Amino acid sequence: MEFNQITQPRKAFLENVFKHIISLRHHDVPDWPTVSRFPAEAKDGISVFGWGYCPNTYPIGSLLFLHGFTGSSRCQHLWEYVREISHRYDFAVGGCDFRHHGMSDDALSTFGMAESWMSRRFLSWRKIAGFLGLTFFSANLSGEMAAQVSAATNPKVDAAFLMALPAWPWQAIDHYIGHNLHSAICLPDELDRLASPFRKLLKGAGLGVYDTINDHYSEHQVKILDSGCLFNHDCSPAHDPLVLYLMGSDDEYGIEHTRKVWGHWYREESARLNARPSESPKQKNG
Amino acid sequence: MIEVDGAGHPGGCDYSPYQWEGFFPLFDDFIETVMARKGQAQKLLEDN
Repeated sequence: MEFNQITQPRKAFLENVFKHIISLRHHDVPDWPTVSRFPAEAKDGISVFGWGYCPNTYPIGSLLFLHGFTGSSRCQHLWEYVREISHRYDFAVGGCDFRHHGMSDDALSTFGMAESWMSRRFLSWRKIAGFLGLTFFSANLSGEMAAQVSAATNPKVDAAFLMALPAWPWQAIDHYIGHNLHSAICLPDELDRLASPFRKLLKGAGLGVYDTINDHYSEHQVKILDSGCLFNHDCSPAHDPLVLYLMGSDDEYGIEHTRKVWGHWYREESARLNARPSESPKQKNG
Repeated sequence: MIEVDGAGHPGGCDYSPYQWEGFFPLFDDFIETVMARKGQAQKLLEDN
């Protein structure tokens, strides 16, 4: 079957894809004392959910954990690290569920830009509590793209610690949606039949998914997927966040692996490890 | 069924302990650098 023979409207089809891939929606928060919930509304009206933990009245910093695509702020293994970070550095910490994840409302994922709107809600919560500074700690895909955009564009964000970042939103879409459709063994018949051409289409240029997501958010952003790409942003001269990029699980999150690969690919382009986005080697799409 | 919260899924919580052995030394350095930069920025503000 050719992709253009799909009978469903693209948006409905894509919503079904998200619904299937993100099939488990967690609804927990840590049961530690002082954990508070802060449900909020994103700027496009989507209800999003977050939680915060602040054991001390005057923490010296704050950290927001942003989950990856298909994950949620409920990840008990990571909670232990987040709690350790809170106690170790005297930080307020928190987590949030992106749209179509966890306890937040359903809406098409944008792999970065719309997800970054949530960080502003956390900043509001932080302001109320009188916190200083914000360090993002994120893992995989949506969280990293959102944290990266927030760090570049929001002067209140001092730093971001990013693990396994995709190069740009459409690479994330291709890799994760395409991969999931291709490899899942229990896809509904309709999606199963479409998996191969869908993946092929995504590999082509992200057409269809790219246009559908951009169209859906056209009221809020001209091209929301492009806006999730760091190269469409730059910090103001007065804003100089520290962003650490760490490669992924295949490399056991080792900074030495990251340094080696960076050096291998960019040594002839005078790339510096400590660079502003505009000074980084230009990446090629596709 | 797609597993979203276990080892092996790229978007889930695939963070086995061995992957975290070096986390805190690296994160310690990171936070220390962030704090030092904040301190320098604050001092600059005060000096001006």
